[in-house]
Amino acid sequence: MNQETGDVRVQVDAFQRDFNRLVTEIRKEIVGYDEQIRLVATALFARGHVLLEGVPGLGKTQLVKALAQAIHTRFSRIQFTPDLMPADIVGTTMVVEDAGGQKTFRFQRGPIFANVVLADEINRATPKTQSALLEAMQEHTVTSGDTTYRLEEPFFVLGTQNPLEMEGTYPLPEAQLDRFLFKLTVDYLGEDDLVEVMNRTTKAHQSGIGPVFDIDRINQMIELVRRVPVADHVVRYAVRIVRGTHPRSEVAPEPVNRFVKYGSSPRGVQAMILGAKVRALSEGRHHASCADVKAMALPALRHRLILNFEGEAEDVRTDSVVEAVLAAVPEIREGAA
Amino acid sequence: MTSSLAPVRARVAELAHGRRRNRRASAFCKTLFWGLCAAAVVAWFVPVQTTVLALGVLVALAAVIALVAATLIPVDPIAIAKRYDDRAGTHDLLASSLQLEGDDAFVRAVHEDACAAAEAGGPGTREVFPTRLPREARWLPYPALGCGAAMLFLVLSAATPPQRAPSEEEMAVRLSGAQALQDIRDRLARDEASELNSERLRALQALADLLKNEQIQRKDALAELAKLAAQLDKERRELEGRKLAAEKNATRLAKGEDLKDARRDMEGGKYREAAAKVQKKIEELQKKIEELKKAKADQLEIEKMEQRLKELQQLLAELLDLDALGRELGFELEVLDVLDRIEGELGELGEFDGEEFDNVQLGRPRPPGERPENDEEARQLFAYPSNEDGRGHNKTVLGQAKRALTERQEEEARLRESKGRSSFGQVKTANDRSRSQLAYKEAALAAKQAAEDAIYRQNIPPGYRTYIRTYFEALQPDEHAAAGQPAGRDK
Repeated sequence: MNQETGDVRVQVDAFQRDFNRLVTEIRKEIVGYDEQIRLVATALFARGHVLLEGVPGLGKTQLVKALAQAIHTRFSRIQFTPDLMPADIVGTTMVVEDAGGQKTFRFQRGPIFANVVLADEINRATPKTQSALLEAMQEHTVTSGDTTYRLEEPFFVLGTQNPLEMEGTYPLPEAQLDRFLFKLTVDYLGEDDLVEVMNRTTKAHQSGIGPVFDIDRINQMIELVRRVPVADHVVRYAVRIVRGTHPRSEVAPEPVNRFVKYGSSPRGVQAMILGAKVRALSEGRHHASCADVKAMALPALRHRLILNFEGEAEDVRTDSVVEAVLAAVPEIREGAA
Repeated sequence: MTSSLAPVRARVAELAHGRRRNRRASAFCKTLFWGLCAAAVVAWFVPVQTTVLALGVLVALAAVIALVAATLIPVDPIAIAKRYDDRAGTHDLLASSLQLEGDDAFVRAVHEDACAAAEAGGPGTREVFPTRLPREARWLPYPALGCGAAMLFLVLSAATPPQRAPSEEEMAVRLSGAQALQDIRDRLARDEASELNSERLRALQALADLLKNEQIQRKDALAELAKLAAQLDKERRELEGRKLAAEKNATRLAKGEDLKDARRDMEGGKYREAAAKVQKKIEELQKKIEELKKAKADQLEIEKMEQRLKELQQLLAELLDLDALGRELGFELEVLDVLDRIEGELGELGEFDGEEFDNVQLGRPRPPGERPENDEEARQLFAYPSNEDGRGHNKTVLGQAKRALTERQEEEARLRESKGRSSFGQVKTANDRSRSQLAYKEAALAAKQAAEDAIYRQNIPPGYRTYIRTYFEALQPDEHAAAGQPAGRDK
């Protein structure tokens, strides 16, 4: 073992430690949802965004707030409503009068200028407002007039949406959905977890959640994720999974051909690979494996599949389609790894 | 700098043996399975021996294909490493290390981890590639059973009934016959003048050996005997034809008072003596011609005498030919005699299985209901007189026998020179719708005599002779019946 690999091992160990610290810290506030917590943290270090979906009252917003508290960054929450305007998100140019009485235009930054942005009930805003997030989420920049502003890293958007009460909502367009690295579903808690929630929320309870690390450390960890090597057979496996979601491709299983109108975009592969890298580091490994890719497949692909009429009519869940793809695609093909 | 992955590669190479072993087993079972499927179909249409041979070839072919498949088809080291990782729980460490290249610190760390994992032991070849039964192997018994069923069916359908060992009495008859044949063969082999070719000698020897062989069943021996008898009979007919022609020529040439003695010898069948006499005459005539030529006698007379000399020489040649033919014919008849005796003795042995006889010789078994249970029943069946005498359409045997005796014509033929003349009767068909003019006893005896003659003349294949004899013996009325019945209506 030489110095360089020794440093790498130290960095990986530190990543694993910090990752677990972050998860542990969030758990102080959030009961249950271990997988969702880890995936939210994974998306953070993969430099992606997360869409949380669940019925009201399950703690989606609380989860995001806990994350923001744990990483000691600028946090802003935007409550999406039908009358919300893009300028309400990105900011607007205002006339400002200085001390000398001289009036100048000045860009007033909106809530998007934060490290962690909670886009609560994102599907309640109009598509025009929703699209205001597109540039920020993809490019990490905001353009107002002829001026482009770079957002501070890390820039992490967590959108939440309610699958019920669809009246008066605007389902996110596919392009918008594709920008989210993961889509996480938040389901009902079990009995024990619910009891614990009751204990924490109906009594005097101090979570004691505090910042685990600062922005610089987060950026370091994001950089480290990018350095994790991924073997060819792992990349090919991720690619085969995505190709498996494409109707009439040679690896597509029967449910895909029957119920899917459009499969995942290449962003699905990127999401799986990046998520796999974070998962590998969080487990103290120096490389990503097929198992890591497989673990990321559901959150990375479930929102990227567009069902056809038959799929909608049969009330097919995209999760079951992705599971069918995972069952059909082998991790390695001899001679074609 | 790329780290050395020697331990990883060594581990993968070791695991590759297990992969090849499984591939061999798979290829072997697949080939065997599909081959057996094909064999199970073909086995119904080919002999069992061919099927057994084909199965042997199939197994050998499957082994060759398995070896070739395991040797020629390359194994993928990445797939093997991945399989190891899955078994060892190393999260694609070895598989990734074989693919990741470069000088990156992360890659080097992966290589180091992989080498450490490879050297640390972990699952062995048997665990990574456990010996498992290929899917086709589980289905192998079905086509194999199909093949077995086909072969068993063919064997059972072709199986002959258990062979009985010949009785002592039968063996005695067979050995005696074989000895007689052997004697003839030895004698004729020594006879330089014989024209018998080696093929005939071999045939005699083969039949003698066959009769001596206890493994050969009586019916098979009789069949072989019949075959040889038929061949000899055919030759006998040819010889007789030639002999008749030669006799005609000789009779035509043997004219004149001077050949009176020779003619007598010829009529007595003494061709050699006749030939000696003719030879003497030839020599005398030659001397006389010489003398006449010296004395310069009349040319016309000399030419006449030379013409006579030519005729005598032709006669001599015919006589010698007749002598040779006589000997040939004598041999043929002697052998036929022996064969007939053997056949008769074998056929008359008591325990001959009638059903088997019918099966083998007549081509169909008689239903048990139609077969007489014993001799008495058979006699009654055959002795009962037909009430449709002379019509010739009664189904009973008796009716047929009586019908066959309405016309009788005597003929003469010389069958063998050495044993004098013999005679035979020629039986012609019955008149329709008329009464028989012969008494039953007389008719039955005549019919039996005619049958015996036919058997004697080798016109009846040996396999049928016993049956025919039994038949005509049954026709013959017993003493009691002969007094008044059954020919009560026969006049």
